[in-house]
Amino acid sequence: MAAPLDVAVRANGNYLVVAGADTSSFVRELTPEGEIVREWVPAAPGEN
Amino acid sequence: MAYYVLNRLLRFSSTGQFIEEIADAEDPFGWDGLYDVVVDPGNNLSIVEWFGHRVTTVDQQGTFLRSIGSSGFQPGQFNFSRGLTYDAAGRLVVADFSNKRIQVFEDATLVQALGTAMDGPFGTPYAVAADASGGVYVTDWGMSRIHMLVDPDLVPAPEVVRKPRLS
Repeated sequence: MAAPLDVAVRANGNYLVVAGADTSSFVRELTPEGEIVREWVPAAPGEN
Repeated sequence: MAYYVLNRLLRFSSTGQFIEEIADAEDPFGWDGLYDVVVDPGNNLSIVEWFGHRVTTVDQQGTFLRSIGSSGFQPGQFNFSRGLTYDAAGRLVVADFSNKRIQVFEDATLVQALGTAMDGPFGTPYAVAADASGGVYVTDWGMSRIHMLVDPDLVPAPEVVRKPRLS
């Protein structure tokens, strides 16, 4: 995992992690058991 | 919103409209490395300062109420305090970054310290967030890991650790 920077808990009990590094960054939603529910990543240069 | 670079604490409405700036009433030089702000159970604001090594609580009008912590490694002191939250029991949980520990306060009194610089389990705890069941998540910048605390005696495992009960 890239260095995790921030964390927040959703009302449904899942939690969101903001992680970033020089080469990658993402926001990831996980269940309390650690399963990834979804992930948001920045668009690549030139993408919308 | 705590703005680290300019050391400004700004209040916005839920629609994003700027309302006011809250100044540091205790220090004529102002905030010292604002990094995080949360609303406590009494609807006051608790603010953590990276370079100030303290957590300051002000009321909704910005009136100073109390400040806890100072620079150091003794219990109750901070060495670059970074993130804070209130757990389900209303206790203040602070990520004490360079001391590699989590400190828990109740009514401004230290009630628990999790982790040591020598023995872990934290690398450099960065941000904290509480869930409704009494658990606290900790992002560990140095170890690239998320700790999920339920019991202070648990030894964290990779990625997600079981739940803590911070009491």
